[in-house]
Amino acid sequence: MRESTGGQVQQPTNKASAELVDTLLVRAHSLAAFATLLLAVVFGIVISLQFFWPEITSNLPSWGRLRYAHTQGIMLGWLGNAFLAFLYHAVPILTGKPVTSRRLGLVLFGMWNFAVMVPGWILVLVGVSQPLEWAEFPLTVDVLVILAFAMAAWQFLPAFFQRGFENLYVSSWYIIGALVFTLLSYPMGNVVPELVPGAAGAAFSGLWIHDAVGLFVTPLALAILYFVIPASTGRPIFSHFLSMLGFWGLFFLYPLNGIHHYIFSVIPMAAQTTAIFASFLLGVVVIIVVSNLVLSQRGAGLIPKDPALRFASMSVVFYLVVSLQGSLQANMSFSQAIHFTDFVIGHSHLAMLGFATFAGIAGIIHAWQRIPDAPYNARALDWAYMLLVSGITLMVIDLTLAGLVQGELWLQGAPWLESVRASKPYWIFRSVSAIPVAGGFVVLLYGLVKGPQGAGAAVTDVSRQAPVSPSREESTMQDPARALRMSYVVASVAGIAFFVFSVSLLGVLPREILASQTAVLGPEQELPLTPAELRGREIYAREGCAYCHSQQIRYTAADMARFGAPTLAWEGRLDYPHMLGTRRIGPDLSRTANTRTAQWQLAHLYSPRSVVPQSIMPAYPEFFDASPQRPGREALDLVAYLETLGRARELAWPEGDIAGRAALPDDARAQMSLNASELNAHPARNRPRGNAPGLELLSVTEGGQRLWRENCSGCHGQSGQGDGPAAQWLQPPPANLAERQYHADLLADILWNGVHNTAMPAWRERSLGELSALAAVVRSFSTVDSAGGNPGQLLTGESVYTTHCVECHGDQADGRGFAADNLPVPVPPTDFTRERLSVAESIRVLQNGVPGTSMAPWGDRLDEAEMQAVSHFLRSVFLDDGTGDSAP
Amino acid sequence: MISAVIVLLTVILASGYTLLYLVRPSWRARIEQPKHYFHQQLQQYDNVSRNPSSDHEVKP
Repeated sequence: MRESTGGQVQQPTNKASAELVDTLLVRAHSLAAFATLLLAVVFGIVISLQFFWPEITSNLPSWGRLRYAHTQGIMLGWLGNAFLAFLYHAVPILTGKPVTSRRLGLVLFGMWNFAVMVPGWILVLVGVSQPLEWAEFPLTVDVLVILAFAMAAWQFLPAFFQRGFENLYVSSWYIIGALVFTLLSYPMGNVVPELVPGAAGAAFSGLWIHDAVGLFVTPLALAILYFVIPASTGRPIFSHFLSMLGFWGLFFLYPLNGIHHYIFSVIPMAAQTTAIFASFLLGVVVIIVVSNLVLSQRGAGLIPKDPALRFASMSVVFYLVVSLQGSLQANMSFSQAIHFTDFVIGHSHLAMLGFATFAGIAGIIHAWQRIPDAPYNARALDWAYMLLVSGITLMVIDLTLAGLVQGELWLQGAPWLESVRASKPYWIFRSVSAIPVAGGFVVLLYGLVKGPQGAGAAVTDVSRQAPVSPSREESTMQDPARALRMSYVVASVAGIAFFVFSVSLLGVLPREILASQTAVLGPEQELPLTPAELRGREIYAREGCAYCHSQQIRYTAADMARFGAPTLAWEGRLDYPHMLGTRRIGPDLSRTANTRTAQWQLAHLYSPRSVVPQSIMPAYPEFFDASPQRPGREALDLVAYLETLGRARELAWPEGDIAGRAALPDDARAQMSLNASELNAHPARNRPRGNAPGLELLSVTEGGQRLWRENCSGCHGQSGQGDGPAAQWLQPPPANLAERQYHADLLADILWNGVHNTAMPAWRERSLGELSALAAVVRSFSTVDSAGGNPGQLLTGESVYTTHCVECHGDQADGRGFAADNLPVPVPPTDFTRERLSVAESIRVLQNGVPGTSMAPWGDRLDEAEMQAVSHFLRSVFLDDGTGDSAP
Repeated sequence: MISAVIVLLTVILASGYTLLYLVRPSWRARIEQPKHYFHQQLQQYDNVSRNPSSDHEVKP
């Protein structure tokens, strides 16, 4: 390596790099990048349609599997190939040395695309995957990814070592950093969560989520920006000092950010606050980086002529916005409002599809322009730029607004489906905004494969201008201080040490703390899952359920009010890997055990909209033999697993929580969970009868009818006759409300508490006004009259009742017979003092019994006259409160 | 506590680096030099790729 001596800046290499650039590999990876990008975008569009067209995936792999394919396709397929294409162009120029070998390059190309991407996609689409964010490819593919990264390091790093580290340009630092740190962090994020359970494993996942962006994507994207901007403007970057300040700042701080994905979780608060501080500091560093990049474009104009610079310039803007967003999202107050919402999805799209993708495109275009015989159509690239900028901007704004709306509704405690309903316009617009995005990518590819050969060379004129001389000060410098050379070595070692520090601080240390909390609070006897439950867990994982339903109740008032006691560390001690989740499209499932009946779960899996008309959940009819009443093993296993969620805590309760309060009196957050007013606060969970608030006596309103359609019609039917689409699959069948009249107290009780051991849930997430409106609709369906039987019938009926019915329905016919609490099927017997059936319905019940309850058929023991008589008798004990008359 | 240490360390390291940059002109020049090297590499690359017959060797 030669040194500069007075006035002349000399090349650190002795061979022109033009002939060192392997354009074949640049082309191959560029085209592979676009092929994988377009496929990943198609996956993305299909899963976006699911949000308002829920049946879209009925003949495709499930939503979760497509979601896995989408994110891995974007990160490894598109960005991985785009970065490799750029590296084949840039490394020889940066080092003046060739990459290790073309043969290795061809093997790496084949490995990346045909041993990682193709098998990875196939495997996740057929259901072999791991439910970890940005780590969805299964472990077998992970091994190949690690091998591919090792090959990439072998391909590109030797050139830097041969060149030497003196006067190393900032892009080189980023490339070296990305190759080294990804090799370290990929196994940590993809393998460790399979070995460390629950929240402790999630801490490592959080590290990887951020390292994937911060140590793989961002460094290579910034390497491109620092390369393309000076190349296109024909001027050196504004300040190499600032660029290095940014480089070390990013590499020190990024790994510390990871836990900010789990703010308010059970992960120790010290780790959370570290991540929050690091996130804020990172925002400061990013401002330095962006300022430098913006100043480096001085003179290029607001919309540069060179398409590569234009994409690079926009990438810088996206980088600033997404980084500031990231810092903001780590703020605890803001996190309460937007975590788990589409705000985060907008953020990740801005990072991967905005910042990183635009940088990747800039790198490819820049390299492509310099391939002598490459087709190049500048006009198509112009169009692509406009389509992509408009599409991505609209998409991110839309998702950001959707997230704010969802967060606000969740904080208010609004019913879950209200947030789904409010989100639909945004979800539709998100899919619409994907049209210019997908179109932009197609046009971009067209611009690079169709057009005059070598036309891209025209833009290289600018960089062939007269060289910019270094300042006098820079030209008259002395021999570089040895200490400076050493400082880079020291900083490199420190960088790796810092990575180890971050993993220790945010991964290993939390694991120890969580393990000690588990040892104190967890029951001595673990409650392992049965083989069927374990199989169900695997199904839950492979279908991506954790990507819509979190399994962590956060330590926030809103979560506690909606779901119950926050999740303690020991609750996930057998979860390999964890299923904490980072998004809530559906509600949290931590306390699913004993919340719904198995029949409801089966009907919901088979046809979600039959029981929840507004649901956007994918259907899984493939788990059934054409009916929820004929579930296959997968359906039964999955429901069995759902019934385990929250079971261990429930079984340990209340003694376990009482003991925990005494054992960890100083752990404020553990106390918060142990002192929660309800362990399972799920609004739909059935509660014992009584204590229902009184409802207002209203007339039927449009709002009430809408509530009925959206919440009740799936089971009870549009006109309340118990003939909704799900009715055929539920036992006991939903009540035929046309044939029933309810006392106001009982109606309020049923709506407030549900009906135990039936599919009738409680509706506690609805306001009393809404429940009053619903009650009015229920009353309006009733056609039951008050006509009574003759005295002889009533006498006979009372006699029959006393002989056969009183042990369950009670002396007073109020459903409180001595056997009521010990029924083989524990559905509460009818309280005839508050529920009146029509004669016809009474006789139907007497003849056929009620499936799914302890009410047996009496048709073979009572004759027609006796059934008529007992029906009239039961109707006579009804305490008519006159509310039936209010129905229009 | 650990957060405060991180903040402090980051600020100290960044301040030290900045201070050296400001008070030591020779360091300043050395730190900025890679961008000029890189720029020349780029120009040379573009020149050669546009005119492959030109001299590939860089004269010291």
